Amino acid sequence: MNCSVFKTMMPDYETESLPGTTRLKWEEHLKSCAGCRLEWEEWMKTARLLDLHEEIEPEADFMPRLYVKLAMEDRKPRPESGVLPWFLAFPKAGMAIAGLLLVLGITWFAWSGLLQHNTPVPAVTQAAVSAPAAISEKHVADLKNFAGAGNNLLPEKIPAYNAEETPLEKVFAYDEFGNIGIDLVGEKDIAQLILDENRR
Amino acid sequence: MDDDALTIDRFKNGERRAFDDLVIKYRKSVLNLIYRFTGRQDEAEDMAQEVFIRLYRSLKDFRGESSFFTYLYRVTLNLCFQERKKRAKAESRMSPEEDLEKIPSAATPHGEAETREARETVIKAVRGLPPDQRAVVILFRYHGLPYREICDILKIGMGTLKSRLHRAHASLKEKLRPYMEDMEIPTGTEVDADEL
Repeated sequence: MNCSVFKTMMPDYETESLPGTTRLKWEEHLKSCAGCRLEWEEWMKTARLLDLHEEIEPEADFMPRLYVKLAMEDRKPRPESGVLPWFLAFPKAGMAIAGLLLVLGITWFAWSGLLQHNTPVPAVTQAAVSAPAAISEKHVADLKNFAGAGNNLLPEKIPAYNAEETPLEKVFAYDEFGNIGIDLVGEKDIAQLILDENRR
Repeated sequence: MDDDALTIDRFKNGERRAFDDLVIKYRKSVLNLIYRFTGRQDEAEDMAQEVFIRLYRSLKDFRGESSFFTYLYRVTLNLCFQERKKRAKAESRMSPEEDLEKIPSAATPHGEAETREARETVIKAVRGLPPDQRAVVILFRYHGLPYREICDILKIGMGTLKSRLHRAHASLKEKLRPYMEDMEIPTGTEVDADEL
């Protein structure tokens, strides 16, 4: 056994956890090596001095004080599951994830904005801004007639036109090809149809 | 199933008394683990209570993947590490005189001022160790835990454990050297002096 292995095994020897043969080899080295004898002596002296760090006893009121705190704990409304307990337990990790989500969100918004900027805006929307004045109540009547003639547009999907509730430009619009569109604003089931102006 | 597992089952089945049994069984170990880690008796009591409150909150989710004892010591040391981080700045600003005031008076007999001084030095020396080494020394030296159990509690390998233990002992040895001169060769597990 060399000095390095001897030193590594000092705590094992101290706790009497060395197997028989190893223990004998360790003790033989102790007898033959003055340097390791000194090491061992200082190891044990250190251990002895550490014993001065005495145990303490819990205060007499340890349990009553704990009962009070536990009773308060029982009264606290606490979510049994979800992300909040986890967030409270690991606030730094929670903040990091929240930050990451924020950055991803901002990136997504910026990216989608860029896409919208580069993608041609649907013609109907463009037309809605540019040509609302070309729409009249007559178009509503025409559209109802068109629906009533057995075409795909269901008559009940066409609301009664009320200029105050639904501005005209929100109901009809022309696209860049001269097609008329309808957006049934205010309906739960919003249908958007593009009608061929020529067919009208 | 060991005693603790049965007690935890009782608690999970709604028997509040089972939790009290766990506290009564482990409060002294938890208290002393904290006391030796922080070196502060007054704070150790409050921190030990905090450990049991955390335990009360989490015990219903305890699945027994490790022994309860390992789990409890892990919760305790986690709290110690958290508190140490919180107070690191305050401690660095504290003067040595203030530091000593925090060490409780020793219950030593009259005329043992030297022992008291040595004791205070020991407490400061342990507290002065890096936290990872401190935890290993405390669990090995004061709680007498076997290597395997310490590895489980601290989630470290055997090599890391032994390395930390030796570095901690080397550091403590240097700090405590002034008190070693008058000490006799320790008796007990060492080889009989006649054989040397």
